[in-house]
This record gives sequence, structure tokens and C-alpha cells, in this order.
Amino acid sequence: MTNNLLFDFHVDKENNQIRVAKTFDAGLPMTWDAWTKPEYLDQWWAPRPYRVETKSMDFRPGGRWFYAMISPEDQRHWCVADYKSIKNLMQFTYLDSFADENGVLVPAFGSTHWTVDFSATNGSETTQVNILLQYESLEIMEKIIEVGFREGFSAAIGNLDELLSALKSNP
Amino acid sequence: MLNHWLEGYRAFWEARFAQLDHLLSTFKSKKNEA
Repeated sequence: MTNNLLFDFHVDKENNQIRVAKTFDAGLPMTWDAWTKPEYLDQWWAPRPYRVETKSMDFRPGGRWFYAMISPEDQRHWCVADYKSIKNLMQFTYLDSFADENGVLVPAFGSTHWTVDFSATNGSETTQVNILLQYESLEIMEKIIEVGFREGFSAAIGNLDELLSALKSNP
Repeated sequence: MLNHWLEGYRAFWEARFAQLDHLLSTFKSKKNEA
């Protein structure tokens, strides 16, 4: 695996946007599948020690991905992605929201509009994915980032656990 | 405070992408074997 590929994370507080760019060491069709098929999304969407379980997926404009982000304590945070537009192997857009276990949106967090763009790079050997997250307001953006902070912190702890375990096996 | 949260949010994305990198690398290995 190539480790020096692009990862860029940019916050634009004036426009309530976060832009993320990442290059993956895989061709475009493979990368597209990883972002759009539940059997793959379940394997990577949640940073460990969280995990994702898809309840339903209907990947088409007007369709929905309904999934739970599950904590190590087995606490379920329900989320939905309501797909708005899909250009096969190029771009999809959706509204991302928190929900209850029945898929009813939780209004306190609002919805975030995601635009995910794919382009083949390096002679189709790699794929660049550009993500634009558009928040309804700075207040909502701060709230969601706060939740992300908690999850990010848990993920960092999980990674540290793995590292320590590996070090113990191979001192 | 926001900057502090952003560090965590960035870590969240990094951890998420690390798993996708791993998954894609597994795909490639399987494809090369086939």
C-alpha cells in the first residue's frame, strides 16, 4: 500500500463547509464500489472501535442508506443518507442526518449536504475522491464536529490499542 | 474550542480512511491472485 497519497482536510468557517480530499491506491471502479455498496461500507465507514451495520440500502436518486454506528459499548447511533443525485462512477450527492431507530430524522443536528466526486489519477492506478460537506449553519457544523471529536478520540484510542498489542507481540 | 474539536474530527476521517485503504488493498490482492 502506498502511504504518501494525498489527504487534505480543510475547514471553511465562513461558508460552513468542510472539504476533504483523499487519493486511494486503487482503481476507480473498486473505489466507487467501496463507497456505494453496503457490504463494503460496513467494513470501513466507522473508525474502529466503532462499527457500522446497514439496516437497508437503496442506492439510487431518492433512495436511502439506513445504518447504525455502533460503539464498543454496543450503543447504536442511527444515521441516514438520502441520495439526491448519482452520476455513475463520477459523483453522488446526498443529505446526511442523524435519525432514531425507525429512520425518523433528529432535527437538532440538521442535515449535511454531501457531494462526493471521483476521478481516476496516475494513469487510472489511483483514485482521487473529493468530498464537500455543506452544513446548514456554523452552529450545526460545530455540533457535528463535537460529535466527530468524540468519535475521533475513540478511534485514536482504538488505534493505540492495536499498536500496543502489536508491540507486545513483536517487542 | 472549535479548533480542538477539529483535530478530533480530522483524526476521525484519518481513521476512517485508514480502514478504506486497508479494504482496497485487500481487494487488489484478491484481484491479482485471481
